[in-house]
Amino acid sequence: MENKENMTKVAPKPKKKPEAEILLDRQIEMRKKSRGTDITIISVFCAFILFFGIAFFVIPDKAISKTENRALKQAPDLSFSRIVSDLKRDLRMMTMTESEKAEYRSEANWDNVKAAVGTDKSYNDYFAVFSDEIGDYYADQFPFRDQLRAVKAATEIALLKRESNDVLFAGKYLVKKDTVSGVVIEEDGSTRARTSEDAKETIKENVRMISGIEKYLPDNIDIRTAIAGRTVDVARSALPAIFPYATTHADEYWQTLKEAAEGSGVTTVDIRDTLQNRFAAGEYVCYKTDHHWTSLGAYYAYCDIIRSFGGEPYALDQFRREVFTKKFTGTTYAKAGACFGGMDTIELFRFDGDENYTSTITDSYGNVLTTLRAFYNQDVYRDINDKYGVFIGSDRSGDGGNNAVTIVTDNGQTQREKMILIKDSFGNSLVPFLARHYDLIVLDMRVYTGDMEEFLSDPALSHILVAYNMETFMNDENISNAALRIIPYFRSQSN
Amino acid sequence: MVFSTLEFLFLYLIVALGFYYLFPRKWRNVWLLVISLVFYGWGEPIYLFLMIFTIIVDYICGFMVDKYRDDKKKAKTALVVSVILNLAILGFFKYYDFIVGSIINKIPGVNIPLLGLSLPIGISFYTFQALSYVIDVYRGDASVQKKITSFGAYVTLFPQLIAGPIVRYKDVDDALNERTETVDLFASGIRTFMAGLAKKILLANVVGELWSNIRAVPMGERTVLAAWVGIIFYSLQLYFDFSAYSDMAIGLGKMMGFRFLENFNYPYIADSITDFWRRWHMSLSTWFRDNVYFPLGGSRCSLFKTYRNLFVVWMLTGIWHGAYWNYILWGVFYGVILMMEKGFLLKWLEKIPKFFRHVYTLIIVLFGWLIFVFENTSEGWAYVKNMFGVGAAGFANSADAYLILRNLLFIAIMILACTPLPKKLFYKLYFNENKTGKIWRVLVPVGCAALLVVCTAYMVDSSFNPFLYFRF
Repeated sequence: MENKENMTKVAPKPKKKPEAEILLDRQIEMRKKSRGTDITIISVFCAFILFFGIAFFVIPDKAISKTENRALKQAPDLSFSRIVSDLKRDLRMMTMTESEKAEYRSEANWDNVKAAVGTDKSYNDYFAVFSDEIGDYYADQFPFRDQLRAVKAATEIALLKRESNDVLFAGKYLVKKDTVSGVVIEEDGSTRARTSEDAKETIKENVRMISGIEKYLPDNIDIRTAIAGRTVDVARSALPAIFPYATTHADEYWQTLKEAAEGSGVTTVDIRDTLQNRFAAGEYVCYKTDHHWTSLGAYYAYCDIIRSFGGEPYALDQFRREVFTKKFTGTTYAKAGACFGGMDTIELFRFDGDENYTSTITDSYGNVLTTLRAFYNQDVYRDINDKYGVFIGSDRSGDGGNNAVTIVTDNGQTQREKMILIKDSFGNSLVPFLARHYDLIVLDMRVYTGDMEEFLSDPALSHILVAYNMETFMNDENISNAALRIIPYFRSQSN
Repeated sequence: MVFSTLEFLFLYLIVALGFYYLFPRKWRNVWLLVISLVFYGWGEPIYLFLMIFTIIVDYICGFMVDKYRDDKKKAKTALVVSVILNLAILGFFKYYDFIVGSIINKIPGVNIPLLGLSLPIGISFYTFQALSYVIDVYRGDASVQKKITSFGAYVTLFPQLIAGPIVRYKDVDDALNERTETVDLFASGIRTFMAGLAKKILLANVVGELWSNIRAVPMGERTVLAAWVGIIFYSLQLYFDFSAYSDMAIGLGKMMGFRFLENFNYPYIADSITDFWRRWHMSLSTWFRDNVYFPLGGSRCSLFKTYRNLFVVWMLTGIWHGAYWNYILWGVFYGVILMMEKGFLLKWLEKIPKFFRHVYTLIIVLFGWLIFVFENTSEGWAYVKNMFGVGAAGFANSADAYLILRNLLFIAIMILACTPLPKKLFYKLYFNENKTGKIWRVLVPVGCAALLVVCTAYMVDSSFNPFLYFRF
């Protein structure tokens, strides 16, 4: 050992540096060179999180999102007492078995819990988890939320994904994909998402309800059912060639509707094909950024409906088309976060003398909310985002035209028949056309909880129109609210 | 709390890092402990008591082990106390309902109510970390930590608290007492963190949503192709998600002067299952190797014992992942395959072309995930049948074509991200001495900013941001 050491000392060989060391040296050298970059990266990162982190606190919270047309989450309660109350709640629940916990948490048990813990909170507030609330609050109130959502949509497009949040970018049009919404509550209390089979059952159930109405209706009242297509049904020619429309369930829904209607003798008006053809011919029948039909689309539907009732629709040139806005962005835009076909134009179809018509909007209890000259509420809906509410929308801007009862009349200028229009929001833009033929009782069964006897006993009542779009018709059974009021009334009349 | 949320990035991290660097060195571990406890208690503050209990128990046990270093018996007692207590807590929260519900209650006439306790987040990770401390001290691999705050900081360290990597005490022993935070380590930490964040938000969450859509399709409506694509998507999601958490943890660690070992090393380029497990969740494999496999005798004993040891380790690995039968099955599945590879398969594999070795590995891994993902075994079984055409809606349909075509670019990006190529390319360009390097070093901060904007955009507008490890 000693010898060797001595030898090396005596005769130091000029050693070649090992490769690993050269590499290390080079890396150290490069690290020095990249020091500027390192500092830049740190600055960028810190500046970014600080900017948004501070902006979040500085920018005041918004109550609603104009683009998304919904209420935004507000700051959660983060007081000490709330955290203590949460801790107590969790401790209490920890001592329970699984089944006891489920029972404790059930809404039915809420009054007992409330009394036991002496809280004045609501069920949802009591069981809310504050970290979840903070997460939602941050996402909803985040600075530049709209712009960031557009960045996401643009990224999805750049990755050639064609979709954002289940909305398809089909050329200029934003098309909500064919999906089923809602949940089913099973007998054991558990829930599951509705499937296409459930949707078909809902369609059949709705048709059954309508056929019940038809059966008990006296001969002097005519009833028709008009189901509007969704954009995915109407704008088929705009869908990308590879879009698997055929393997979604869309066609099956229409088939189910057709078969159920034929089987039970319900008279339907086929407005889907009409609009599909009009769309294919390049007409602007559905909005690019919203799920509704345009006024022009509603006009074509109206023609089919009136003809089906045996009447003669007014020609297109007998209306004066007035532009309400050219800056409409609707529901599909809100969902997708971006659009590439520009904003939509809302037209109002006017005719001579329509200013003498009035639309009286009431809630379920008969309280008048607003009385409109003609059918349009331009003043309230011009500056808010939900511009489709211009059609029979009340002055409460949140309702977007979906109110319990709207009575539309020409104020006795002519002796006219009456029509009950049972509708969802698609029906709102049919009102201006139908009103030229009948005095209307417009009912939104999603909202209206009152009695129908007053309307049904009207001797002038001659027509009932059920006008829904497929989205509502396959997901919602609110038509039963109408059937369960109409059928008993006429049944008692015929006895 | 999880990393891929707005409140983490734009509130928690600012506060955590800000004060970390404002405070003098000697306070930093205390601050780390405080802020990590906040991180831990974010979702379920109730379990903070449990965490503090674990810290105190293991601190005392470590202390005793060190004090009685010369009295083997007493030292061993302290070690055993620590092991039993830690495993008892883990067992109670994680396995009580499983043992009662799936085993004991199967005995006729027995019906013990289930507790339905939510699992304390990250309990499997931090329990193993706490254990590793006492074991390392006992073995003399690490010195005792006298400061309870520093020890507490080690157990709760927020970067790896909830999803690993499982950091062995001996690996951070020195750093815990004295570490130097440098500019280039911080910058490198940001790069690692950003890579992880992007992987989680732009890849894992997106492909995860595609998988969950495929999974949600009713049995008779799914095609054979969709079933295969689905499980491939799940494999990608799990890898990106898990390795993203590790990347973010490692990155955050670097920002505060810690150097954690890598947890993933491109597992999907492995050419055998033995190789795969040297690349996947390395910190867990290492933990089991050091603390179970080697103490049992490893492979330096009789053939029977070696296989028994392998079996025990893989059974435990399975159980560690969750208290369901499928995880045990999954562990045993890998145990058996690894035994076969050890016995004869590896020798065979060496003879076939590299390409087929990769195919073999990926297929085994795919079937592994198939066992792993379905906690409900009947759903899993039906899915497997689907993959082979039983009860499927044909081989393929236009919906599959649409799904694949519109995600083609995304799929290509994901495949690339499974390989070391992007990282290699990055190093080649970034540490280049000529002009390319210069340009590149300007571009990286710009890219970093762009990535931050895009990631934030996806966080703001997302309904799908799952945390996959709540069973661990």
